[in-house]
Amino acid sequence: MCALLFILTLISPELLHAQNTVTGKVTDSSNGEPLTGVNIVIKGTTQGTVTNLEGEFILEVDDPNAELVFSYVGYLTETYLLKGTTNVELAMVQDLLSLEELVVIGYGTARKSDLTGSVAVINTENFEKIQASDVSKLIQGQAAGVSVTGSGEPGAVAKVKIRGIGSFGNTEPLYVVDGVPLANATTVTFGHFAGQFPLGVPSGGISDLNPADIESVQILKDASAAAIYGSRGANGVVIITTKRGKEGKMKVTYDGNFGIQNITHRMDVCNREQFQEMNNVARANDRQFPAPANDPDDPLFIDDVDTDWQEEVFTTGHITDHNLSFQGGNENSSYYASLNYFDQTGTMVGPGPRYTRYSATLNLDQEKGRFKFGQSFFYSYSDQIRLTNSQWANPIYETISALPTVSVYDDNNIGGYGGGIDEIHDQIAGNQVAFNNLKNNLLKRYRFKGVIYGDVEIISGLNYKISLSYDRSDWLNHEFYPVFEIGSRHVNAIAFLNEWRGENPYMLMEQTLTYNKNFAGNDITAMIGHSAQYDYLQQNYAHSEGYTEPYLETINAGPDNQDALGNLFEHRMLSYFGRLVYSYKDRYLATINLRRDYSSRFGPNNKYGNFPSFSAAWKIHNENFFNVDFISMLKIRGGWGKIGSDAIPDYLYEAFINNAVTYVFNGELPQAGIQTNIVDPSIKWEERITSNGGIDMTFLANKIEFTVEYYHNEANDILYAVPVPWTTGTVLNPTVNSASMTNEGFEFVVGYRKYEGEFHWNISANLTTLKNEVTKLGKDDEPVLRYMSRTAVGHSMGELYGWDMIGIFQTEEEIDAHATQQNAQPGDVKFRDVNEDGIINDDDRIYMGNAFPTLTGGLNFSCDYKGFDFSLFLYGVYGNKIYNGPTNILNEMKYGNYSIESYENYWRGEGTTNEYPRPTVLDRNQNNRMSQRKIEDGAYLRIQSVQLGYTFPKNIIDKIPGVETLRVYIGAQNLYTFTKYTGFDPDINNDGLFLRGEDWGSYPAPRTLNAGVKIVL
Amino acid sequence: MSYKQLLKQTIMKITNKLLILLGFMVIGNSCTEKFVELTNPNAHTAESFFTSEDNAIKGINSVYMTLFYDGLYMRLYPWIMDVRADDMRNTSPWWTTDLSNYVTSPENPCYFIPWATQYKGVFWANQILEYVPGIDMDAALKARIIGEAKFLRGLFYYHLVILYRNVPLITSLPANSDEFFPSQAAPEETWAQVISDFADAMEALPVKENYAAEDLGRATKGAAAGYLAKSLMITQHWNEAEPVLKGIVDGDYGSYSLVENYRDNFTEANENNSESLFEVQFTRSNAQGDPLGGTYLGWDGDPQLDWSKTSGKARTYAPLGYGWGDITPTDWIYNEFMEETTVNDSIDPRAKASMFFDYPGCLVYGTPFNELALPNFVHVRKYLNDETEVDETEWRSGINERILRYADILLLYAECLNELNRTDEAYPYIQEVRDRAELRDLAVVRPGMTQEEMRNQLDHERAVELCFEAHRYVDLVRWGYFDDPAKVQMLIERDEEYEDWTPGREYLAIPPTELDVNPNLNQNPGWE
Repeated sequence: MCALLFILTLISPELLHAQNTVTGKVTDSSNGEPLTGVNIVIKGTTQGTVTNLEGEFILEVDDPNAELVFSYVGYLTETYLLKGTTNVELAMVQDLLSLEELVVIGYGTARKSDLTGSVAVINTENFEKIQASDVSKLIQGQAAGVSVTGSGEPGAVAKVKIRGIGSFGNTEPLYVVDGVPLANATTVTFGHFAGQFPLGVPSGGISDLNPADIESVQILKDASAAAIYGSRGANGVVIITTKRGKEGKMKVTYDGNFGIQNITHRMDVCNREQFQEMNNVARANDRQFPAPANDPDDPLFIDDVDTDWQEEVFTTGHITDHNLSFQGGNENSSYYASLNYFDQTGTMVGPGPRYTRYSATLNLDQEKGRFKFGQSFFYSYSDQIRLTNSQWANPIYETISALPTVSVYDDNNIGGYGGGIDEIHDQIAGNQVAFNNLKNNLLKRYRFKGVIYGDVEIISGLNYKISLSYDRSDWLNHEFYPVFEIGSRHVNAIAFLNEWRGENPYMLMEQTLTYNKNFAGNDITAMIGHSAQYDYLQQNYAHSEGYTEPYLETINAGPDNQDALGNLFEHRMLSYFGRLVYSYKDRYLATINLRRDYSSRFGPNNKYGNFPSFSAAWKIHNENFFNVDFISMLKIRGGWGKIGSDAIPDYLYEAFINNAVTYVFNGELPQAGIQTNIVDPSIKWEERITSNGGIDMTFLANKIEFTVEYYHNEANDILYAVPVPWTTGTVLNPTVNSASMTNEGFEFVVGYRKYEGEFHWNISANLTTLKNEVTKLGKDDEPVLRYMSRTAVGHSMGELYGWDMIGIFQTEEEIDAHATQQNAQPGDVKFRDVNEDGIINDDDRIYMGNAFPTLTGGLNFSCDYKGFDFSLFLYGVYGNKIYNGPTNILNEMKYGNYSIESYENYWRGEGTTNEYPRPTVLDRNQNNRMSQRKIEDGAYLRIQSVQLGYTFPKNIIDKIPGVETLRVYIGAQNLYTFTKYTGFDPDINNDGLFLRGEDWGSYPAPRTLNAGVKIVL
Repeated sequence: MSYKQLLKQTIMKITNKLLILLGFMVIGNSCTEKFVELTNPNAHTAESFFTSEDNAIKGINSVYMTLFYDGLYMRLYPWIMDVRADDMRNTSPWWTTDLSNYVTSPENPCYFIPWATQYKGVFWANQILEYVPGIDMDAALKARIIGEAKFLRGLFYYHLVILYRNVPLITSLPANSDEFFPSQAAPEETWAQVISDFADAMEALPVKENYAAEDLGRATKGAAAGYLAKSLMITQHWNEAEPVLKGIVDGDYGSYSLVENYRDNFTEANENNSESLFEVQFTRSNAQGDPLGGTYLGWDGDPQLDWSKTSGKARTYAPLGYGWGDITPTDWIYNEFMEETTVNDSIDPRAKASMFFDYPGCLVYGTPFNELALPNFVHVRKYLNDETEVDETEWRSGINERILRYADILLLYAECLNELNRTDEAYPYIQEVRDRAELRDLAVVRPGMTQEEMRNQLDHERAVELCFEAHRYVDLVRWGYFDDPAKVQMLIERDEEYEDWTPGREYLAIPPTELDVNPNLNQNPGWE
């Protein structure tokens, strides 16, 4: 077929001659590019032709009123009534729901309509409508079953989860770019350098890649689809194909945009007078005199400062994105090259947060006869100035809770910034303006990825493919603290520098042999493969201190206490895999996958795991008996599969001697060593078993699409560092196969599109339900308690957990009548004696809400009319609860400023309120313990993006020499969020596991207004 | 070579390869297994380590590090003991607020850090006691190492039973994971283990004079004897305690004496002096001025090479502005000091060595007290670097914590004699301590005390001599302050923080998080 097409295109239209000759040109409606190989058939006949490289065709037509049918894979089929016309100019519309397009499924491709597993195909056209530094933020809401939560901090990596979570360790999906799995990104958790374990590797995973290079994205959601990636696909697989050159003259595309960003939400906090009044009340309630700064009778009383910290800290950020790409090729080779500059400044004052990235891509393909070769090179350099904060709280907490009585600047302090003095201002409060400006935390990341592949067709239908890839991340994290003094709690007496450097190369060789055979309605594809992987992580840390002004920020420039650490972690995997895909008469389809993985992370007896899967589908609409006109497609499919995971740190099955456990004798350090961990040497692969069934339907000539799918994922033997009692003498909890969990739910996708006439529009929506349940935990199902969350058998991960607030004690009598609640006084929070034992204690805590949204959905609408296009994207979640840290820190009335809400409503005597306790500094009743006061509904609906574009018509473009397409657009992101959540942003970023319902001052997503232009030359 | 030949060769090669691949899949080739065998390049494995004399020494060296942890003398153990005693009160916004108010919350680190720290030490000491006996090595050295391990294990259980009273008693390495979940021993049983460990250590350890210079800081016979005596006193085994205390005083277990200047017990300049039976060897730097280890505080967690070997206590205890000012002397202890003047009618020199307050010439890190607007009229001075540093904000104090002083032994000996109805014999040992403070002869000012009067006298003497050294609270508990409502009332008068005390809460709660993890544990009485 391909070859035939190829030969046909070589036939020049001029060679054909006919009396009723129709000539014409077919282009893509979205960009005006010519379409090559479009099938044109005269309706009711077998006569026809195809377009050439320039999209042109010549066709001899007998009947001047004939109808021409234009069809092309990936585009909507169009019927053109000639009515005597001899010159046809047709712009074909891309079929966003195309069932014939080829989908990459891992070591191969399949027609979308032939899929048996659960695969979401992302519409990458929507990517142009959102400004984001990496692809993970672009897929938010674009596919059912895929949840993305993100921080608004520039350069921060969003968290992607497919169909809930199945592990306590890594829950990120595997990204496969151009057939090559990438190293997993890990959250950057630079803290102290952990000697025996790797710290968070800031290898960016997918975030280093330029989204503009992406051609297609598919997400493999179930084991039957992902099992071919074996253990690496345990959390689902995101398959990304980057753009490659196409045959034809060189096409140059420039796409650039610029946006401004703002954090629009503000927390209502007390001004100076309100703060002083409330602080005095709180202290009086604890029999304390007013703090000098708040006491009008004290000489230190402050009445000339009233800082609005949110105004001082939040500022307008900018986002800039320039992309320039070149592509083209001839019949033997093609190329795609691109350059990208991305820059995002943060919405907080100071040099950071800021993320800047420079990247370049070069994709080459060569083909001759039976041989195909290709190379992909990618390099990026990114420079991230990270948010800095105090030692005590995060930047958001610092900003909202800072005292109005403290000035931003103070020349008397070293460093020049103001800060609270405990004994004067009373409360602990920082100065985020100062932290951002004084502390320097820079992360530089260098990423190289190179892939070389070769493909040979040994005999017809039998292909051997080998690919070699090298994916390397290097980084430097540079942290410098000058000497400063910001009030009594934020003093840095010694200037110091910490530098972390690391390298994380990742080498992979993969070979596959694929055989395809068609006979008598049978279509068989068999594939076997082998893969070997080696990656390591080498890190070094250096410290130096005692710097004096003017500061020179290198290790050598620091005179004192130079210090270095370093370690190495290696990981190897080896895999064998095979797949059999069978279909009969395009009606019955079946796929079987088998993979065996070997991993260095397990002990001698548990090195390998076997991971099988199978799936099948029945295309009912292709049956002869099926005769329902309005149903264009009806497919039932189902699958089962088992995958494993080794996503744990290296060497966990062996106890080690820690030589850092040392003491001082006679003023010197002797050599030392002792075992500090305990291990389970028998740890083995985590296991995921997924089952899934669905129905795909389209109606009215594919105008309406509908998919419903049920999934049930079971995770067993989850590797988890079980909290063992401290009496074991280790803080390094042994990692053991110890937990089980299920995730189940339904996914719905509906779409409608109208493509006739000049006004085209389409709408698509997806909705996912999720129920997560932990079914086994640790040795004896001991629950895991972390902060405000509890994970226990029979509940979902990280359910919020606390005391049941039932009002405010109004009188002493009420306290006496209630169960014993130590230190309670009138005005304090009253908690329910859940177990009715007459005392309020730890046993009276209850579950207070699910951290997982039970419903997640997205809605895309787009339309175009005569060159104008408009798109709208909504995203929402429902059914989850959030521990609202930002609101809570202001209601705690403890270490900083207060919310207006608590100021206006606090208990002022019997009968005044049953919601807000009296202010107290010591909080002896623990009003601030976890209770409903701290929890809010996490549901929201967000207008994620709106964009209006205009593509200049052909007649204007033709007047600009060299320009083929010109489109301009304006848009907005995160325009508005409908929510009852009173924190900054209900789209919270957290560890995603045990604390997934807790908002500890997550950096909010800003509102972006942007404009851009796309030019194709 | 023709195209066809090339193709044929390629096919052959690939087929061969394929067969090899299939072979791998079928038989799980040993090459495959080898490819995924990797050993940790960062550390030795535990199995092969305890086989040599060198490593036995390395092992015992490690056990001492427990003393550097936050849950011990780096900060939290003395802080927890002092903040609950009647000589100090909480002035911190940190978790010790709850501690001094006698309430708990699951996340309060004051309850779990000391617990975790002691058991870390127990685990390490048990490794020595399990492996070292089997190592082929010098017999004397082996005995000493075992003695050191027993001393340290005794010390960790001593802290545990004092802090928590009802604790699991683990004296061997876990044979299987079921043993990760022990239940609690009766306090008498734990005390018996403590006493036996100290007694064994006293037997096995050399006197301090017999150690080589490079071993300075190791547990000695004297240290073991001192802790044995202290444990016997706490458990009221007067008859057994008496000979041990006498032995120390007589110099049978090494030669000990009071240093002339009281303050020499609390500065970096006079460490490991004649008065010290055992001390924690904090060090800011070595002879070359390099920080030993590194500069990172570590606090807790798995030890790293760059953890500093310094104490965070000075920053915690120093007045606000120079440190955190987290803890402050009570009026009561100040008044105890002012009760008696020296033979020259001046203030007890121990008051000035222990506290900053407004007396002529009082310098706070070089600045006269009366020029400062400090939040309280009296502040702690013991264990601060006020003569050598400008403040404590670096959070690195190198002052050794003298956890057992000869003055303590003398007062204990006096107490023991008094309890054995030999009250008159107690006078000279008390007076030895008083003489250094230039106080008048007790035999002259308060002759012929009854046993009860002598008890009260010793209460006072110990309070002023040993204030802010984590001893006072142990004394309060062992003297039954919390068993007598009248005495509780007395405590409330000294320190209003006791208002929230309820019976049982003189011991810490078993960490709630530990109860969550180990169903075999019971919460302490008074905390349920």
